[in-house]
Amino acid sequence: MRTQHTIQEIIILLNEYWHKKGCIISSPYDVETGAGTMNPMTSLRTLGPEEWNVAYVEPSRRPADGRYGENPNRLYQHHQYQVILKPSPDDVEEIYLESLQAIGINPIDHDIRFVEDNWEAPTLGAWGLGWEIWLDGMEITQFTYFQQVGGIECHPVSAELTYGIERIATYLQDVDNVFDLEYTKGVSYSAIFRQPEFEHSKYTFEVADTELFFRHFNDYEKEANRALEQRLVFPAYDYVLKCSHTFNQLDAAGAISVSARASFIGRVRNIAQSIAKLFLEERCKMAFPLMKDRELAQKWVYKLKSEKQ
Amino acid sequence: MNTYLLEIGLEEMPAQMILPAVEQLKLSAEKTCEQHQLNFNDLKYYSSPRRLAIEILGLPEKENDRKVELKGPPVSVAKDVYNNWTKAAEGFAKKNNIPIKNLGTKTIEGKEYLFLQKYESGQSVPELLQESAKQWISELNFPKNMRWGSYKTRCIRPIRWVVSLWNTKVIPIKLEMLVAGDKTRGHRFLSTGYSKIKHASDYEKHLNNRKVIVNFEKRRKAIVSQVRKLEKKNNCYIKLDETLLNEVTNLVEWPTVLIGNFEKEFLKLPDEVLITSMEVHQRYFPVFRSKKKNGSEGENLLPNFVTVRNGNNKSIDTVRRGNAKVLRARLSDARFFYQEDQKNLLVEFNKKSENVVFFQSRGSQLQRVQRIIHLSKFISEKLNFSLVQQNHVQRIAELSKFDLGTRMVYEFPELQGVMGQNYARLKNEEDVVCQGIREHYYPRNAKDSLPRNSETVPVSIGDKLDMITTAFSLAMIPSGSADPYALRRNAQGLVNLILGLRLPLNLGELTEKAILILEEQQSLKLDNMKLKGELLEFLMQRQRWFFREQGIRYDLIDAILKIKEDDHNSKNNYENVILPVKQLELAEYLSDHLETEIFKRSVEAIVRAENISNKYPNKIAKQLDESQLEINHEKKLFKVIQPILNADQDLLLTPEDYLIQLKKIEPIVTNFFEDVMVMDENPIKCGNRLWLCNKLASWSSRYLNLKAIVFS
Repeated sequence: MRTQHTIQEIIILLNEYWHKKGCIISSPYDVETGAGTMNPMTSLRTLGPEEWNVAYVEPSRRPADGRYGENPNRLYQHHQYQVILKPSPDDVEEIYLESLQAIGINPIDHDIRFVEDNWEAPTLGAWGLGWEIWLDGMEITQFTYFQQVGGIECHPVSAELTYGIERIATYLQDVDNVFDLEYTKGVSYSAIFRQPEFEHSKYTFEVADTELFFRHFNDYEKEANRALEQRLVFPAYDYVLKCSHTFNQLDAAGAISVSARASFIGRVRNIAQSIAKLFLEERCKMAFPLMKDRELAQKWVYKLKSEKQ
Repeated sequence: MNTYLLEIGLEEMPAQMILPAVEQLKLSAEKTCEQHQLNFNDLKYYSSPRRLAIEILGLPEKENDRKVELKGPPVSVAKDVYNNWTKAAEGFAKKNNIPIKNLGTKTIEGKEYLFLQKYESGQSVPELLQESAKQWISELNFPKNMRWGSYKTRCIRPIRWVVSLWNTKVIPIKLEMLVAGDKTRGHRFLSTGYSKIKHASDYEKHLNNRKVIVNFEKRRKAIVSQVRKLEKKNNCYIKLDETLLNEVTNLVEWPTVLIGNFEKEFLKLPDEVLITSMEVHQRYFPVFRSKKKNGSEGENLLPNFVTVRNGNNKSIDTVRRGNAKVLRARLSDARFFYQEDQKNLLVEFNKKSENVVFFQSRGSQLQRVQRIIHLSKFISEKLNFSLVQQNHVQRIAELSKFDLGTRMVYEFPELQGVMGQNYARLKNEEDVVCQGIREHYYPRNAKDSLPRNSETVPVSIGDKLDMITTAFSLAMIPSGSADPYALRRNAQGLVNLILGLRLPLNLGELTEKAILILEEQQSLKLDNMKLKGELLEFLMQRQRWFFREQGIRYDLIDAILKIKEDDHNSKNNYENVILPVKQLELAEYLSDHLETEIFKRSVEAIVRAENISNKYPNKIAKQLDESQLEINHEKKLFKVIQPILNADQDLLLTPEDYLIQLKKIEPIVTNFFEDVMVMDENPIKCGNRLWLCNKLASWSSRYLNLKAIVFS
């Protein structure tokens, strides 16, 4: 039997599950992101030796996927449920599968597969290895072991679990169209999201002032660098996110040629890499306060300092 | 006799890595056994997505004892003048833990040394395996490795358990993250937790009881036999693509095959779209009404799909419905793209490719198409195509790449060409054009067919020629196994077209034209000679390969292709280079006559002529002085080579006529060498005779380098 959870219930159940597993339950970021990975709770915190377990919902903007609210499964903005476990526990696969049970997916009644899928985020200088998790042929989660972020090797390695909330919900509620989903009892997905889907699509493809976006991209890039000079990691990173979103908006509007594309991505990546380095340095100055094993923290401080010299 | 079992338990490995990995494990184990001279009865290997294992049966308890001989100091040093043992001798005895009086002596190269023979007892095999097996694991080599948790170890995926069993006893290999034991894990969902393997030889059965078919072949067979049953039951044909079947086998531990369906209306989409959606995106097997008479292709696609579940029959309907839903969503997307694409005119897609860079600093995709148009025109003129044909060629070239701008090909890149044909047909392009759009990519690999229509051929050649020329102009020349742009495959395709279809095309001319077109369009100044040389060398390697595939002898290939090389070096007449087809014809013809007596003698005679004229290049007469020909056999030789001397130097004889000429000339040359003293004291006579030899040799060398031929 299928458990017909609403989207809201799925989120609550996942929060509850990951809360019990000891995660920080965080919030979506307040700057536009294209994925949960872009939230600094992932992109920055997966760097360095500190333990870090976090879970949150991330509304993710993908301007190029906007379809005026007419396509049954492509959205300008969809919702990811993002989990980071650092270091990745030895039984991380089992913990993940247990989380599926928590939202009413009992593996014994389905076909669950781990299909190779390697992940790369060129604007972040990040990559990892892992799988797409298939539920009866449908990809419901991206499971990645982070190997590098901001061009820096990850030590220890984080496991990233990214659940596609709409996908899981269409499965659980047995509907073919995301707009037919029930968000919570008596409120449909369509009632909440169809208007913004239509308007954002129209804006992206027909209205957006590309001149303004190009200008903004340059400004954001400059401001990110200015913040970097002052060693302000988080503000600098916010401007990287703004650059990234601006780039996505321009790309969706077809304003960026193929050859220019690589150079835009390179510009964003360069700043992201400097920020990653700076983040590590600043955490090191604070002697990695999130590490429970203080002796080990001191060792790391010593190690990074001697590497720097 | 003993059995050793090693099982490495990992998180799900990428499907295509599994078989190569277990092969490595097997080779490492065999190497160890060979090094330590361990005999065994059998070595079995197993694999599934979550495990790599080997089982070695019939191992001895310990290695064989070894006789060891140790050389000590020379006797002259070991004893003093009073014949007493010295410190050196005592030291040697002590070091080897043996009473000094037990030492023997042995003479090596006239000098007497202290000598010791002892037996070293062989190491116990379990001890030996504890070290070796650890090494097998660390030696596993994958193209892409990862780290996990806080560990330093790198592997394809995290290692989660290891079983290392000597019969019933654990050999505790220590890895960074765990120590090997006797507990394994069964199927992820059809069994629970860890279970202890009682005896190393129980492995396969133990896992079978826990719902894992751990033998790849058996798992594959299980899938095939379930598929065949479904075929019978549903009276249909399920096409099992070999690569896909292997991949699917490596995605499951306990396969259950099931059939599902989708809405009939999707069958309006081109078959290729449906099949790609199923095979490539979903790893499903497509279902047909029946099998085509010849080959494994299916006929009349049915609105069904077949998938393999990693599990048993429980809730199989849920799984079926879930999969059907996913496929439906994919096909809806495809239908949307199909309808959207049809709203545009074909040439409008070409305009889109103006912004698509083909190779950095070598222009856009649109400019590439223009180069292909030029090259195709040049080739169709060379092939004496009629005007009607030339128009078709032009249209095929124009439309050869338009579908790269369609949404369908953007989503399904593997459908390039196929969608082009489809859309062109919908826009009422002529059949020959539609087929050309699809088939100008042919041949895509060694087994692929050639284009069916001659009108496609110039575009097919032009496409490949432009590809390699453009890449080479950027110094992107494949070396070793690295060939990211598949230039070898393109060059092979080009050569296969020319030789397979026996086209009278000259590679020198073709490459020159391709370079020229690229230079003019992109306003470049390239080093033409160098570039052309590199291209021709690259193509000749492909030609060599083609000849070999035809079963032509290595020495004959060398003999025939050598000429070309020499001509390149001498830099003069590119235009006189023998056409590849002519070389092929000659090679084929001579293959049948190579070992005949008469051919052997001809080769001997001509090689002799060549050797002697090469040896004294300065003594060869500039002009033959006919009045000084005196001996009968030299007169005869002069007479018999008349037709060669008078013939148009640019024309080549057919292979048959070449051989006939050889046969005519051979006895006379042979007699000539028997009766005539070439290096006569008289410089005029000598010059005359060398002149005859030289003319004969250079005539024959235009066809092939006879020296390269090795008779059996």
